Amino acid sequence: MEADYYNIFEPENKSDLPLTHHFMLRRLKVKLAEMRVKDRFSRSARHQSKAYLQKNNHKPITGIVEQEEKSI
Amino acid sequence: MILILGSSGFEQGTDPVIDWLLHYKADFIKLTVEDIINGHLRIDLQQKEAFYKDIPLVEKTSIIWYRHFLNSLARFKVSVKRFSQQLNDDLRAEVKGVVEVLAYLLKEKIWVPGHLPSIQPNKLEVLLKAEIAGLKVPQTTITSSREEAIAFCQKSQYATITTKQISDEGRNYYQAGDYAYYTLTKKLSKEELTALESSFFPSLLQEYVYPDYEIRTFYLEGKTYSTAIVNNKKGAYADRKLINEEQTTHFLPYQLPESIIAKTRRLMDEMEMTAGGIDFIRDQKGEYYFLEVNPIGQYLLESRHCNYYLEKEIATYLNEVDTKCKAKQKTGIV
Repeated sequence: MEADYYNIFEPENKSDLPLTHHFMLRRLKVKLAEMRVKDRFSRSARHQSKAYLQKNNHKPITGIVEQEEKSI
Repeated sequence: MILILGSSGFEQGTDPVIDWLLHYKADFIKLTVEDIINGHLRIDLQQKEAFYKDIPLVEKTSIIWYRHFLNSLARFKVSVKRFSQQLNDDLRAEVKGVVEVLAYLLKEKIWVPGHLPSIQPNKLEVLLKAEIAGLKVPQTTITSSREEAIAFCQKSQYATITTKQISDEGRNYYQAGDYAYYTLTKKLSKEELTALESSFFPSLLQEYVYPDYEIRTFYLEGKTYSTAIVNNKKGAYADRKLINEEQTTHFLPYQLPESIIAKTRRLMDEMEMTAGGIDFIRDQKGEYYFLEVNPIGQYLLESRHCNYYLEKEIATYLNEVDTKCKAKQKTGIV
């Protein structure tokens, strides 16, 4: 469960760094949700937002979705 | 009126609450740093009023919801050919000055999660307050000496310690090409410490608490919504963000013991905070350790897994406070 760590600074600067920065994690930017590289945003005046993203924040507990029958 | 101090860019915890505020037909506006920079905010000290597009904020606002408002200030930059860094430092300081006076004018209002200065509390101060409130906290030290770090490690329960940043304000992504580098809580063994230089930049060290599981509690006005984050895989991790996406990680609705809830309420009252995400570890012996509180932490992941609908809870709370304040103003009872 240990991740791979990187020291991205020059070796001579090691003593200038806090310990957290001796062991940095690396991830592809597209895989970091917080970087929002993959997301496509719209605008929403109602949300007063220039970068709006519609998200479904919930899931059925059972994972089963019951679809309503279409009325003819 | 509900005043949201938010951001003009996407912020995952803000829009789901706004969805519900729209549903409730609540009276709200969102103010961002960009609004200030673009001149949409006017402050009149004689009137003790701040106008956002002619809306008198002090007069109209009953409750303020602070949500990553100042984050975008770090990205603000005016392009000039000379003295760019100095000019931009000055401009950011000016904006901060405006925000401070705005917060002062609005100081009598209800703030969620707390008044502006308490929104990013010092982690160590919070630990001291948590201990006073009766919560168990991991042994903690700040040192820049390898020998002191090794001694601290040897004294700790599992001869392992962790390090994490003291302030969340400085947690950045270091971008290089397709990759981003960042810090999380890191476990350190005596062997790793021995390999270090004799001194380093002052760092926060904590004894490692071997987790049975971690608990994330969302706190809102005395109510708690807890999620146990359980990992079936053998082996311990230092930061739950490392295991969030693993298939062996399960997010379960969880009930904290009443005594821990009472102590948490005492802590939040002491910090004058109405909301926040709180991290606990339940160790193998069944003891609960308080790790930290993040007043503007994200809540959607746990909310989604446990169907807590926290965005609805937040919106309901904001709307109810605003409605009550308006009713009081109408009847003249303050």
